[in-house]
Amino acid sequence: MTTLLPLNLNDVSYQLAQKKLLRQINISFEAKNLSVILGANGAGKTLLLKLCCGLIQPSSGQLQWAKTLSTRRGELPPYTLVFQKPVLLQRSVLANLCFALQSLPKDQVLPRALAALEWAGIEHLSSRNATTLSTGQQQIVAIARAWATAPEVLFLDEPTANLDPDATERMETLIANLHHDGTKIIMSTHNLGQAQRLADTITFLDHGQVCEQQSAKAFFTAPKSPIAQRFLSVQGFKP
Amino acid sequence: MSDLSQSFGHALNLLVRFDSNLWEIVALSFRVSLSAVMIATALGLPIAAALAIKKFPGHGAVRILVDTLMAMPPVVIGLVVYLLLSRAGPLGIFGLLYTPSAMIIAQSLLITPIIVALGLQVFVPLWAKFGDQFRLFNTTTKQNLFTLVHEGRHQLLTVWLAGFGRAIAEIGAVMMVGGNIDHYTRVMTTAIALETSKGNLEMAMALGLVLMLMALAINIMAHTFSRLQQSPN
Amino acid sequence: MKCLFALLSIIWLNAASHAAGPLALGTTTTLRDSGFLEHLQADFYATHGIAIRSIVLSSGQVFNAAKRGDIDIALTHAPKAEQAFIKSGLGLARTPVFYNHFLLVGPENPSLKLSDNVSLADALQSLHEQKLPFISRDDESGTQAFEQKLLSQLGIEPSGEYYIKSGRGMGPTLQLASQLQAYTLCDWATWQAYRAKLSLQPIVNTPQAKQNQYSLVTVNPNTSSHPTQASAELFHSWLTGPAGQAAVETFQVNGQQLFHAGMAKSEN
Repeated sequence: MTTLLPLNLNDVSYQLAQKKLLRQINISFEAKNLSVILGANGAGKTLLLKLCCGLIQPSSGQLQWAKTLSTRRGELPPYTLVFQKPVLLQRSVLANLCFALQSLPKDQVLPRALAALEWAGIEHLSSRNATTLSTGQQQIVAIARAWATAPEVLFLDEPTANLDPDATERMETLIANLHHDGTKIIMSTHNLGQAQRLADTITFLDHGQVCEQQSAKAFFTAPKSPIAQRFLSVQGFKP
Repeated sequence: MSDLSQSFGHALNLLVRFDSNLWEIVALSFRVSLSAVMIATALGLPIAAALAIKKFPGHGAVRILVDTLMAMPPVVIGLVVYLLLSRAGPLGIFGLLYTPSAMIIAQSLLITPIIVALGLQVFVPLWAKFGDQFRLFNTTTKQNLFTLVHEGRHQLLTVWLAGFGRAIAEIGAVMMVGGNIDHYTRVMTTAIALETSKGNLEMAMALGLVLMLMALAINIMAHTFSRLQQSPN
Repeated sequence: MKCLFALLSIIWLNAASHAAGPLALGTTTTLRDSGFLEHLQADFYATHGIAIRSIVLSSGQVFNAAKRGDIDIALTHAPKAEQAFIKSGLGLARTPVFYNHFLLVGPENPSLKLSDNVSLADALQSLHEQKLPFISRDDESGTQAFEQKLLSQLGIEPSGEYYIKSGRGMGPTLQLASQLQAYTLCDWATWQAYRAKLSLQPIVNTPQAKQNQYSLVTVNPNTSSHPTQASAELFHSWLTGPAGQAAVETFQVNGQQLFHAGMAKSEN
């Protein structure tokens, strides 16, 4: 089974209403390591993730996966994205999970959904209306839903930005589990501590441009670009 | 003033006694407007969903058409349907003029643009919220449409009620194409007009009371449904 | 596809089946408002089991509908329009079936001074000379046609604020006259039906004048776009026959006979 990765972005830019919001993006995402896209608010992290997911199209340049993607609807997608604010249907948590699994043969849907609940440790929330849960619980449902579809690549857009420390910890544990089980993680954050805890590689984004992309260890010891250095020191970070 | 209260009293009497004439008229009103709003919903909601989801060629033209039709006075729609269904008209062969079917057709035409416009107000925010997520799920358009309708079910019920209320309260279209025929195409609104012109205020008022009670019931239901709607956090 | 089927079945289930028999009768407000129409409908139904669907318009509007092929048969009181319809080839035959008369009604304290036994025409002439408030139907009705006939005989072309056009049926026109305390022409049947609710009184009431003739006008099956109706022929033979004519003679409101069977006088 051929893999999707590496994902290469060649000279990608994105423009909206005459403004270049992303430019000269030349990066790649390799298999196996947990990639974190780091940057301040407004740097363009969300746009970059959306581009990778195909939700928006680049204005110029190319985005290339290692294998061509099927354009057929009604199949489980090979990658998915967890948004910063969870998007759930007004039904039970279980029903939300089953909804994402519609493309599977009917007899596989429920077992998989139940397995997702178990994996995320939220069996007790199974019959609750998803939109009445706390933001933290909703986000966990969202990541459980993503796990259920068994994607090869999981994108996450600042998944813990709206969560309290407890929920953040739980989310990070689940993300780490996914990573250990072989799912490629590409996530964005502006939180240095989180980046340190989780990242294998850092892609640093500032004002729509990638300033550097290197291993996390190297980045946090000696960031190459002045902007990154300023970013770290301003946040009180000492290597 | 005592004339008014006397008429009011007689009107209540007619209502409570289940005067068969009165209730025959009410039943027909229901039958016509209910059928019309079912047709309008079946036609209008898919159009609204399509407009909300896709930017297809001619999108702007459809929007303009819908808004224009919504502003059309019922009597004009009645006239158009009259010209279509008259034996001298293109659809004359079906002999539908002066029948309840003609009234249903006219009211369907009247209500469909309303359903489309109000439905859009429900679907556009829903699509803004779910559009990206649906694309990530890679679900089919049919699955997405059903889900949108299910997500907006409380609001859509309010839309449906608005359409029904509009249909049952109009007179221009049903008068033109129905002919207000006794025991056949006489509905509440046309009956009120007739009885008033004949000076039979008790009957007119009784019908008016039923209409008002119906409007009240519709509004209570609409209010309850929109309160039932869970507000997402 | 299922949606389309559902749509069509809703419409179809509600459709009238013309072939089976209900009769689309084009007729006038004067017959409805007096209750006479219901009386005829009930009698006809009792005899033949056929329902009459009365489409009530002014006489002129009835012939417009007939021209469009939307009614089976017409029962009106506008001789000129009726004859024109026959002449055009769309109508087949005209049979006078019953009659009554027109009267002039007016305010409770009328300022129109008239001698006894004055004719309707003379009264109208004085009224126009004195420019007293008068409500005209102005709706192509039989009553309107009668007023026009009188006015052209008198050579009067009314103009001015005293001459008000209601554009509506006889009932609403009477109510308007009552509100404004004005004069108007009215047929005997509608007058009997409404008089209790009005503040008007008869000014010139001459039953022997018999000016108001109602006729049954059949549609020509060869030229009309309307399918032939067996029920139309049945209604025609019923109304012109002894049963129908008896129904006419026996109809009363407040102890008053409203219509007389047959033909009033030969048309000139």
